[in-house]
Amino acid sequence: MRKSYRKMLGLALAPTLAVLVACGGGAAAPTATRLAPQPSPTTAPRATAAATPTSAPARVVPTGQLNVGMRGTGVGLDPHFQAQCHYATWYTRIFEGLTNRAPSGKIEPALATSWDFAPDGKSVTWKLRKGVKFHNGDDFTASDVLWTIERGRTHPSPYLYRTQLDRVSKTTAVDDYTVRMDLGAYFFELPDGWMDVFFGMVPEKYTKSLANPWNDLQRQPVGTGPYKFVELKTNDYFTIEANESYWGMVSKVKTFKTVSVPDATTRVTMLKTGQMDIVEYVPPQMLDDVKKMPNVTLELIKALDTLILMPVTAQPANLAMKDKRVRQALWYAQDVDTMVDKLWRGSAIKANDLIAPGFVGHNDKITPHPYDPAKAKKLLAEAGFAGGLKLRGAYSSGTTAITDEWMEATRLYWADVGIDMKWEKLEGAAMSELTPRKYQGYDMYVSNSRNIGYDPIRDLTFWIHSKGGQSSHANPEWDKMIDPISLIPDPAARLKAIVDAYAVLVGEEVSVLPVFHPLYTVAYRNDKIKEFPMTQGWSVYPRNLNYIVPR
Amino acid sequence: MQRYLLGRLVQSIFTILFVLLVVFVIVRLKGDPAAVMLGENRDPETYAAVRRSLHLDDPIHVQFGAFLGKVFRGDLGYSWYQRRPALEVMLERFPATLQLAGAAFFFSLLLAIPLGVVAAIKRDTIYDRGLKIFALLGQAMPTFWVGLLLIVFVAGYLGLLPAGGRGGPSHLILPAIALGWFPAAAIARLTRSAMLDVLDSDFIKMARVKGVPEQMVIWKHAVKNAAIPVVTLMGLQIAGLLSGAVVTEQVFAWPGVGWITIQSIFGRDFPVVQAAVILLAAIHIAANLVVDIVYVYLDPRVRYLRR
Repeated sequence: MRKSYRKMLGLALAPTLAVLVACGGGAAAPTATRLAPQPSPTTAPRATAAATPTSAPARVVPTGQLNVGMRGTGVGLDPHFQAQCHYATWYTRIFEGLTNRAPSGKIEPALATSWDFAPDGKSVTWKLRKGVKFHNGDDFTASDVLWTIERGRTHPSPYLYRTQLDRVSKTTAVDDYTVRMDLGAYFFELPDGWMDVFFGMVPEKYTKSLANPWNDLQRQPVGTGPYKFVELKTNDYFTIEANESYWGMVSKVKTFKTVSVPDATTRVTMLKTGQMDIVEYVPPQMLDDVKKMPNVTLELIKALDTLILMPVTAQPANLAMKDKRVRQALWYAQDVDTMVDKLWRGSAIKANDLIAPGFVGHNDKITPHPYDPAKAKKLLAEAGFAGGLKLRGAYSSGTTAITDEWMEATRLYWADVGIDMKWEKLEGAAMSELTPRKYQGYDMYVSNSRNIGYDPIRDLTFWIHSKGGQSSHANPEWDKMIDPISLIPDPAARLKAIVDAYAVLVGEEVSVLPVFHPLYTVAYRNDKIKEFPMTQGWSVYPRNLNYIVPR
Repeated sequence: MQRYLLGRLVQSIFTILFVLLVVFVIVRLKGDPAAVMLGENRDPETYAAVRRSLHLDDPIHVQFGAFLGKVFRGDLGYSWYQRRPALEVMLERFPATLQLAGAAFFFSLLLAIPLGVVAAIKRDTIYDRGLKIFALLGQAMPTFWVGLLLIVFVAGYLGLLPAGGRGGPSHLILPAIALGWFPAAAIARLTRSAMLDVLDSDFIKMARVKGVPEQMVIWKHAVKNAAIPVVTLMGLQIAGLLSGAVVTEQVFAWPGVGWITIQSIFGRDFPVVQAAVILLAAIHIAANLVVDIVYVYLDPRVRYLRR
């Protein structure tokens, strides 16, 4: 009882003073809140030739302007100048890929109407959509696809998809609307997954006509997407306008002005006063305030994120963390349900897997280890740490709105089973500098896994394989489990192998300790918006904007 | 006096050079700038090209020489993320910061001088104690905290003013109050103490004995003489307001230099950070120089002492 009280006191005292003043206390009736309807989890494999057409174009006359308050407004709009995946939030409103991802993560046709993999999996032939025009009036043809691939490969900037492009040995325009792509070696990630909205098609003639074809698209973007670029003031505002001749569903709202409002209190107050019509990322401490606001609807939407604790096992000094029983003990020793309730105030889901529920690759059969301090103590004793264990962890406060509180709660929970956890808060850049050194000097770090790839082999490799970009492991046994999966050409068998691997590597080995899937929180004014049919991962899926019905 | 001014000018130039040296060293202490810019998954050719463009393969003194040459030609680097000159990024934001700092300065003067004078005249009364509380709050409360209070109560609860963003004059009021309260408190306290010193001096007593009206004693003789240290402080506060707007801009979503600097720090856009540091340091040094020059003209004692 006493320990429980101490934990609750820790949780209660953790929020910052600013938030205490900014937010009122007390619970509110959740009448204005709804968890957005979710599609069923997608575990079905994709067909090698996508067949399902997108919804028929609905011609409407877009009207009005909506102001959207977001944490930031990106830094640029060139699909080939994207060092980090979150930039895609911006350029994907203007550019489109050959494929698109449904909110569930399932691949569907976009600028390609269908595609066929050769039986040996060494090439893919794309049939392009006819009659599509870029915003400047140029026709979209096969030469634009070739140019986009060539530009992406040679653009002198950090580019997320360069590794994938390097595996394309040759691209050929069979005719104006057919492209064949030869894959030199077997693909680590299947191309219909990454040729999606993140791989925006760039107009060849227009880009080559720019004074600097590498730089100028960043500030004068022209794509085929549902919105046309109007204006960008970096880190200030970004304005787009509905593309009325769009081949798909045309936006019902004429103009979206996205304003960068980094402070959550300011953002929410701007919604309350009508300066903003939609705001994103309402922090847990402010949810009750927003629920109480008249004329405002709060949406909690399943997002792509999984907040994880990453054990570091790569270093010789990580003796304790190399022991599976210690990693399991850490999972048993934290009361995730209470943290979801008290810290997140219901705006997160208890995690069991690296891939969030509802997204391709999620394994709902992994059972999260329940809160069981006695079992955690037993496991630690079996591992030889009955007398206690000292651990050192690193985190960045920018990971979530409540990372400090989460870390303090975790420290208190683990202290109950004899683990002396010392968390160090680092600036984001300092955290990323630890990555190439495989987090030397630490036993654990905190991160956010954002499942942006359709093919979940990417996440499996990225976090757990010794060569993965964010991995803190060097375990040959785990690598042996992952390596053969990328050689499975059949998508259904491949997906099953991935899901099974997650069951072992996450559920049993605890190579990653998934804790929460934070929900994406969006609030909007009812006097400006009539319908806002939300789907999963709103900020990443720009097509969701198309569904907004203004008043 | 000319010698004094020349000396101050030379000091300012050396200070600027020292700032440039510190900026140059710090960027390199962070690690290989090319590697930091390009991240882990860089390809060797791009990496080599960036190293060449930044003169990173040259000896360190050559690098510093090239860096100085560029700075003095107005080339403060190229924003890695915005794909345009860093100075252009800064100058685009500068009017917003200047507007905010100007409004905050106006607010602080409007409030601080009358408060300080009245507190000195009505010493140990409720007015004086009121000033002390105002000054204590202004100097004790962090700017972001004042900003949040104003946003929550004035904008959110009372609905009187916009909560954030840059727009018409009404958008300026809350951020100007948040930013201006701290210097207002300092100026009010200094005005009060300077006034007390002057009011206690012989020439003021003589003026009163001679029957000069009290209003004239206060505003013509006392305030004028008490203004010398206050003007010095005000000059320094202008520079402080320009660089101190960083937090206020972030809280109020005010698109100024401070905000872009913070974003560039998080985004590792070092050329922009470097440009911001140089620009703000130059403003500070220039403001100090101007204050020194004004001080010479305001206070004859300085002129005589420097002869």
